Amino acid sequence: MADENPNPEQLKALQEKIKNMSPEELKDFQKKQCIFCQIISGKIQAKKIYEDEKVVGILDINPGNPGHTLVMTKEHYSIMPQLPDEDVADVFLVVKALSNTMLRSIDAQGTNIIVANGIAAGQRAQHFMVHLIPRKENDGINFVLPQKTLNENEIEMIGNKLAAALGGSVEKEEKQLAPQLAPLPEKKSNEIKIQKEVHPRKSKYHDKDNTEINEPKTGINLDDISKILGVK
Amino acid sequence: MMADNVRENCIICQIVGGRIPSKKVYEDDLIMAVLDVNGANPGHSFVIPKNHYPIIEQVPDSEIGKMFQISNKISTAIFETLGAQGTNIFVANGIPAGQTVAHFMINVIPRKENDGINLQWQPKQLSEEEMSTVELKLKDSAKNVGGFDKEKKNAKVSAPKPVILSDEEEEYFSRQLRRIP
Repeated sequence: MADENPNPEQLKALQEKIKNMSPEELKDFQKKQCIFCQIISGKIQAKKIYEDEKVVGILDINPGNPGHTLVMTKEHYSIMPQLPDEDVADVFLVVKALSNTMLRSIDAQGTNIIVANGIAAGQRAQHFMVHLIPRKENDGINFVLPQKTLNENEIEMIGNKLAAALGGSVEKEEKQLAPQLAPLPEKKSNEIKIQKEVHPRKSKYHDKDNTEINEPKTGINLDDISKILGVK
Repeated sequence: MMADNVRENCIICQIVGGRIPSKKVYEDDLIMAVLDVNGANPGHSFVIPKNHYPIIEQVPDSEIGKMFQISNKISTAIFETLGAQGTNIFVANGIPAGQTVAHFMINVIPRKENDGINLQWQPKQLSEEEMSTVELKLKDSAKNVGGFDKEKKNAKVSAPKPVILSDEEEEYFSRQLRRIP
């Protein structure tokens, strides 16, 4: 971590510098700034409860509950979308096993697994991590997930966008893994019919107030998000 | 095909079986991802195993890795195609953790500033002694963690395995769930 807070001009210069960095330079820069990389390399002390070649688990010093563990890749990634598939599997197999451990050794009655990608999602650290929080009844943690109902149009539009984005990349990579892969099966049209029958009168009305979704959105550059986090 | 593993009274199994219509965003032989039509934000999706496993501990290692990989791809797609400012991956494992359906699922949630979602917690102050006690306990039992069956994990094709869940266990979970208003 920096010894002193940079003044606005220094910060601006720094941001400019970061902007012009190659991905490799950026990663290196972020790694040097990253407190979790220093924990992983042992320069900063932490309560490590698990370690293998690629993954570490340490106790969170500001735990939601006793035993709250951060499971991290040793490699520096700012956000989860940067992780290669193999690392995703490695990390979450450890998460699953440690969740099991919590149920058995510290009498947890449940666990939450949370990843925050981006500041809007609640990410505070600049190193990808999985929060694994042991839970008990009435432990004072209250997550709020409101329910927002989508209309037919939104369902179609958003669902198709995601399916297309996913079908493309997944299909190419996973062809050997899953020969039966079929992101959009033939019966799709059937399903839509069924949905229409359920909400027969909605579509016209909802067409109007759907502009937000209809507007073409420029995709967010993940590197930008990771850059923002790196400076924090 | 999956008759043995699909539970009649499980709403997720009914989605998997197609008896409840859904908007699929991904499907393969073991895993499905569906748009949540009552999600916390537009684009909220959940990734589910086709086989019926109530909690993560019951999901085989070979399926866990893949499920989170799919979740990560959805999260990436949410950033790139829906213009989200962030994403959360969220799992509630067990009723005290907020689980409401007895079928394991991974939530992938698009985020924007001030969207009314709260996945934060108030940090608890623990004494150094309390921290050390919990550290020792977890460290000790985590010794058995690892030695994941890499072969199994990397297996190209993993056949669906029957779920070994006694009816009692299942009933217990359903009973617990019904207590939730």
